[in-house]
Amino acid sequence: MERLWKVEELSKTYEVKSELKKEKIRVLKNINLEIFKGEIFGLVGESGSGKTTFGKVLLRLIEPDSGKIIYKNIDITNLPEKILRKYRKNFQIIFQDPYKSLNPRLTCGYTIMEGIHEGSKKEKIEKAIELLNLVGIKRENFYKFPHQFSGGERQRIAIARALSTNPEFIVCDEPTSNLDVSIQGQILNLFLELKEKFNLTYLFITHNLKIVKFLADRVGIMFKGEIVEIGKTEEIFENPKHFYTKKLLESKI
Amino acid sequence: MKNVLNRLKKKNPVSYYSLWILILLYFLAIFADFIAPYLYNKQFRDYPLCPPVRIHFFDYNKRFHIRPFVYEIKLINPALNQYEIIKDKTLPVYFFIKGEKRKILGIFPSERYLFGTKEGKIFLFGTDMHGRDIFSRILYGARISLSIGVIGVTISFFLGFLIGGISGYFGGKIDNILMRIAEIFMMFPSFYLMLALRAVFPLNLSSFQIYILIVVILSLIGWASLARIIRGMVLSIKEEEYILSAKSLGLSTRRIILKHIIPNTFSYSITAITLSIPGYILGESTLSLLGLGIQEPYPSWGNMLSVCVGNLRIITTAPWMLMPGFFIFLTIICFNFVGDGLRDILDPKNW
Amino acid sequence: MKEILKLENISVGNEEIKILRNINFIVKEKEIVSIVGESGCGKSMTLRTIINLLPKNLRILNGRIYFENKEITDFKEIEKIRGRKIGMIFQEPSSYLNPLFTIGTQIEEAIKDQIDKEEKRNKIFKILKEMGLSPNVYYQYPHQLSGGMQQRAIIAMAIINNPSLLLADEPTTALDLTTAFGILNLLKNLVLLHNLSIIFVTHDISLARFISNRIIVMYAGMIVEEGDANLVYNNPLHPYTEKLIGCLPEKYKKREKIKVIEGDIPSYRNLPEGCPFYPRCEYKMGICEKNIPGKINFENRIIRCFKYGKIMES
Repeated sequence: MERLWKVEELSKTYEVKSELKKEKIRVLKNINLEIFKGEIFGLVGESGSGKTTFGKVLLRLIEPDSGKIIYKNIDITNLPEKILRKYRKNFQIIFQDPYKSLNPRLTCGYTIMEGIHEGSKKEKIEKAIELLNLVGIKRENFYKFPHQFSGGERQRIAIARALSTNPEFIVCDEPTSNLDVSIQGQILNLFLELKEKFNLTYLFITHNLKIVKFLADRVGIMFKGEIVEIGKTEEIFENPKHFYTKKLLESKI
Repeated sequence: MKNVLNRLKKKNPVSYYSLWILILLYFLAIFADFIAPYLYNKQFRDYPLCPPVRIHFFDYNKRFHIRPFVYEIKLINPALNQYEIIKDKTLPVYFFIKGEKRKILGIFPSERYLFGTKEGKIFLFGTDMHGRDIFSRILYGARISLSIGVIGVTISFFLGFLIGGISGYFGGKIDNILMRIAEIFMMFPSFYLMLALRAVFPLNLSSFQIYILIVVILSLIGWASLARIIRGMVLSIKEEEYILSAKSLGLSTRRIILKHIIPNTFSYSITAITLSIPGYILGESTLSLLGLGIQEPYPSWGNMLSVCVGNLRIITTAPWMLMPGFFIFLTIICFNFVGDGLRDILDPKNW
Repeated sequence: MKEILKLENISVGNEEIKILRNINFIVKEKEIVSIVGESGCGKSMTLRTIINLLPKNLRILNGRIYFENKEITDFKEIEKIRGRKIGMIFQEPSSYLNPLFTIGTQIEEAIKDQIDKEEKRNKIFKILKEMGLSPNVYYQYPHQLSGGMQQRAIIAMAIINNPSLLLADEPTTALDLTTAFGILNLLKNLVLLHNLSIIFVTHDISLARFISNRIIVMYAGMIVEEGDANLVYNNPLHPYTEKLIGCLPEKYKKREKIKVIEGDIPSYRNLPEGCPFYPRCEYKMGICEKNIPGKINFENRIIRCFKYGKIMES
C-alpha cells in the first residue's frame, strides 16, 4: 500500500504566560506515525491530548517546533509556503464547529469556489454547484450565507469546500461532535460515499470510540501529547495494552 | 444599493434620515457657488451684525403674495446695532436670479444663482461684524469642514488598516516595531501634538497649503489607535477556522488578508470610521478657532466661531453668529446615527 | 414509592406557537429518568418549565405540576423550592461559575440554611470530599479547575441543600469521555446516598440507557415513548425511537450504510396537524395525518402511536 504520510518525532510546544511565569505546554511530544493510502486512520484522545493540534500541524497550518513531516516522499517540514502551496491541494481539512469554520461574510457558493483555481468563472460556478449536489445541498442555496443553514448543512458545505481542490487526503477534526445523532449518521454515510467515489484517505480525529470502531481501519490513541498505542481497530478494542487505552475502553457507555 | 437603503430605512429610520441630511449638506457644500446668494467675502458695510432677514408670504396688511418677499432693513443705531424693518415696501425674492459672475465648482462660469433679491438683502442667517452674509459663508465653509473630515479619515484608516493588518498577521518583530511606533504617536496628547505640528510650519502659508497641512496632521494623530485595534482584531480572526481553511486551499497571503480577514473587521471598523469623522471636523474647527487653521477671509465653520470666543455678549446681542456651531453639531450627530445604521446593515446576518 | 414530581397535561407556548404539548410524566423517589431527544425537541424547555425559568415570551398554557404531592403550577412558592428542594445543573460548567469568586465562596452562597460561618465551612469541605475534590478547591478559582472539576463544583452547589430532585441539562455533553464517566457514576451514587431523584436530559440515548432507570423520548414538543431504559434501547416501539437508535454507529457492522431519518425536524411554526412524526414515518397510516395519537399503555411502555392502538388525543 502506498504510504501517504510519515511523521517523525513531531513536537510542538506552546508558551503560556500565566501568573507572571511562562509555562511551556508540550502539546505534541515526539509523535511518530504513518498513514497509508486508502485507509481511515482514527486518532482518538480526550481534550488536551493534542489530537486537534496534530491535525493542523500535519498540514502545516500550524508550524511544528521539531520533527519531520513527509508527504509521499517529499519532506514538507521546512518547505517555503510558496512551494508548499502547490501541494496543498492534495490535502484538506474539515473542522469540528460548523458554526465557526465558514466565513460568515461569504456565500456558500463562493466559499466553495475559492478552492477551484482552474477554469472560467462560469466553469467554476458549475463545478461548485456540482460539489454542492454531491453533498446534498440544492443549487438554489448557492447564494445563501452560512447563518441561513443548519449545523448539519454547514458541515456539508465545509465538506464540499474540502473537496473543491480534488484532494486525496482529508483531515476530519471531530466533524460530527457538534451534531445531533441523526445528522451524524447522515454525515458518516456521506464520508463513506465520498471515500468510495474519490478514493480518499482520512485522518479521522475524534473522542467518540463508537465512531472509531465503526469507521477506522487503524487507530492511534493519544494521551497528553503522545501516541500511546497504535494498531488495527479490532485489535485495540479487543486487546488493549496501554493503561490509558484500557481506561478509555472502560468508560464506554 | 437600493436594497441597502431600503433596509436601512426599515431597520433604523433615524439613521436613514441622517444619511439624507448629510447628503444634503454635502450637496450644499459642493454647489455653494450656485446656492449661496452672496460671495463669502462680500462685505456689506451698511449691514454689520444684521439679524436674520425673514422671508414672508403674508405682508403686514395680511395680503398673500405668491412670490416670497423680504422687507428692507435699515441700521438705525450703529452703536447698539439696532435695525428697523421698513414695512411699506415688499421686496420680492427671485429664483435663478442673475448676479455677480462666479464659477460653479471653480470651473463653470455662471451668472445665475439659486435665489436672491434685486433690491434689499436676504441674509437668511444674518451677517457678521463685517457685514458678510453668514448663510453664504456657512455654505462655503462647509466645503472645508466636511471634506477635511472625510479625507483625513480616509488617510488615517488606510494607514491604520495597512499597519494594523500587517502587524497582526505577521506578528513577531514586525509587529513589535510597528506597534511601538504606533504607541509613540498615541503617547502625545493629541491636542498639543496638533498645535506643535502646526507650529513647525510657517504661519502664513497659502490657504490651500494650510488645508493640506491640517489634513495630514489630523491623519497622523488618528491612525495609531485604530491600527492597534485592527491589529488586535486581526490577531484573533487569524486563528479562526475559516482562515485556516483558506490557507489550506492554497490562497495567497494577500488574498487571505484582503478578502477574509479585513472584511471581518468591518463590524468594528466601519462604525469607527463614521464615528471618528466628527473628531476630525472638531479638530479642524479647533485649529481654526485658535487662528492656526484656515485663515480669513476664507470661511470654515471653525474660524467663523472663533470670533465668538471670549465674547459672551454675542449670545444676547447677535446669537445668529453661533449658527456654524449648530451645523457642526448637526453634522456630528448625523454621522453618529449613520455609523449606527451602517454597523447594522453590514452584518451578514441581516442579509 | 413516593412521587416526587408529576407533570399533568402540561402545555407551554404562547398565542402563536406551542413548544410543549400535553407533557405527562411522574418521577418517583430515587429514580433517574432521562429525557432524550434531538436539538429543539423541547427537553430543556421541560426542565425549565418545572422551575419556572421559561423565556419571557413563553408560559404554561395549561396543565399542572405537582412537587412532592403539592401543586406548584402557579409558582408562588417557587423561590423556596428552587435551589433548595430542586437543584439544577447545566451543560457548560465554566459558564455557570463566576470567574471572580473562589469555589468556596460560590458554594457558600448556595447554602440556604441559616447556620453560622463555621458550620458552613464544614459543610462545604464535606461536600467537596464527597464530590471527589480536594479541600484545596475551596480556595481556588474556576479557571484553575478542569472541566470535570468545575462540573463537580456545580453539582456540589446544586445538592448542598439536600434537594429531593436534581434537574440535569446535558451535564456531560461538553466533557471528555473518562471525565463524563466519572460524573455519571458520581450522580448514580448520589441517588443512592442522598435519596435523590434525577431528571437527566441528553441527546445521547446510549448515555440515557447507561444512567437511567427510565427513558422518555421526546419529539417536537411531545412525549412519544416512555419506559424502562434497557427495554426502550433494545426494543424501541415508537417509529421515531426506532429510527433514532438506528442512527447509532454501534448498531452497525463496520462501514455499513447507516439508516438515516429522511426529512427534517418540523419547526414550531409549522407543526403537522396530526402526529408530529407523520411526514417522516415509514409506518404511516391514513389516521396519522390529521390525528394526534393519545397515550397508550402497551407492554409496560407508554407510547403515542396509532400502530399500537387507535386512541386519539383528547
